[in-house]
Amino acid sequence: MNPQDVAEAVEEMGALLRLDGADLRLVDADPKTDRIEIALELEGVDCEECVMPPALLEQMISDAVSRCVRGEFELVLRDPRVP
Amino acid sequence: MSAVLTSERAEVSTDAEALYELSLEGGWGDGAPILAATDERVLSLLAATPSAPDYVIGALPPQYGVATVELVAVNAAMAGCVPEAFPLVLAALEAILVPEFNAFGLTTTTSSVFPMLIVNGPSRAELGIDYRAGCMGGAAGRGSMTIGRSVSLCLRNIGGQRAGETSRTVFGQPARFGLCFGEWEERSPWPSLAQRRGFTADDDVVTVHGGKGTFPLADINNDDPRDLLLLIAKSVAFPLSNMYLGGSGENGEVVIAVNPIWADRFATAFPEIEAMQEFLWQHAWQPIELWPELNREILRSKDRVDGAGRVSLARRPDQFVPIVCGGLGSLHAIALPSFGESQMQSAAAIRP
Repeated sequence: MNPQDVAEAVEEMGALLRLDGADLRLVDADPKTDRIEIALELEGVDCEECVMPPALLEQMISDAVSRCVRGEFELVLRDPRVP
Repeated sequence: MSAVLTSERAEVSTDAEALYELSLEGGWGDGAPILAATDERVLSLLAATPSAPDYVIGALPPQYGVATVELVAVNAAMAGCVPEAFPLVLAALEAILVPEFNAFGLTTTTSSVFPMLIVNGPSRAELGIDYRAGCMGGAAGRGSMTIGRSVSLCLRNIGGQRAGETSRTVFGQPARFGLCFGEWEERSPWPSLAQRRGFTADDDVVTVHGGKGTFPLADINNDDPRDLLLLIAKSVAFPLSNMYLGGSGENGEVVIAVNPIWADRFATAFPEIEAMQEFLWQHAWQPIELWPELNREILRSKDRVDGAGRVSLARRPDQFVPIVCGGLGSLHAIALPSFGESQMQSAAAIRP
């Protein structure tokens, strides 16, 4: 897993979220563990419900990363809306 | 100074197919194509160890052929082993030859058991030893395939182990071609297997386990770590396990390979590996009523039944050996059941 590839996927998805005032931040992408940690940032969002629902967002991020990364990975999405 | 080779020589064709046919005719192959053990290949392997070519590692059962470093290198060359991996082959054989491993029993029994190699250490990834998805078959890492195969060829060609002849194994198992995989240490919430056995994280270590096969476990219905571990304990304590067949249950280990997702889940309930082993031990039993009367009498005569009518699989928690490896698909674990009369051994690779 190349962290740069992951960053590109996160940027691709982040660009979509920024339209609603949200953003994504790549916290960690470790080739030794194949674990990718991404945080959803909602500071600039007026309506949290207007941002993609958590499950759908996670699936879309996973799909985006899959297009850029060869092999398996574990995606951990820190979504403040999920307790 | 280059080593002087003393092994018996054979003229072989440079044609790969002819070499393959010759190995089948001569009985020194394993059924798959091999590389020619040329002087160049053997010498390059010998240069990767501080041991002299004539150094005797030991006598390999079942026919107790003397395993010199040079003979091991010849077999490793045929298996396609690279020099950097050769010290791991030697370490594996050193571990196999520890008497408590009971290599003679393993190579002669009717059981399907065979040495399975588990690798820890810094060279794991660069040698191509599989530890992620498909690590127990199919990932096709060069290290996994060639180190395991080297050891198998040594047992075959030096030790004289042959199924249906010197080995009475009824079914054999795929690991007889060579099973070698690594632990995904970076994803383990616990110290690595090698560290738990007294080595450091800087050591390249091979642990040999007399495993009867790969026994798959799966669950998609329950996320609770204790519930899941309870079911694993009950699953590995199956009534026809070798650990119920033999004597006291004091020997042998059950390796329980969990994937990183399950490992994280177990670590929430069992931050210390010893607590997890204790839990497995406490629940790996079956009620004596499970067995027919004839079997009950035998188990009772061997003092295997406690006051509550439970028949424990093992005598001690340390006979359950969790390790972390495999892909990220969750849902799955694999147990490597024990032959019973064999104790796991480890040895570190020694480099020049």
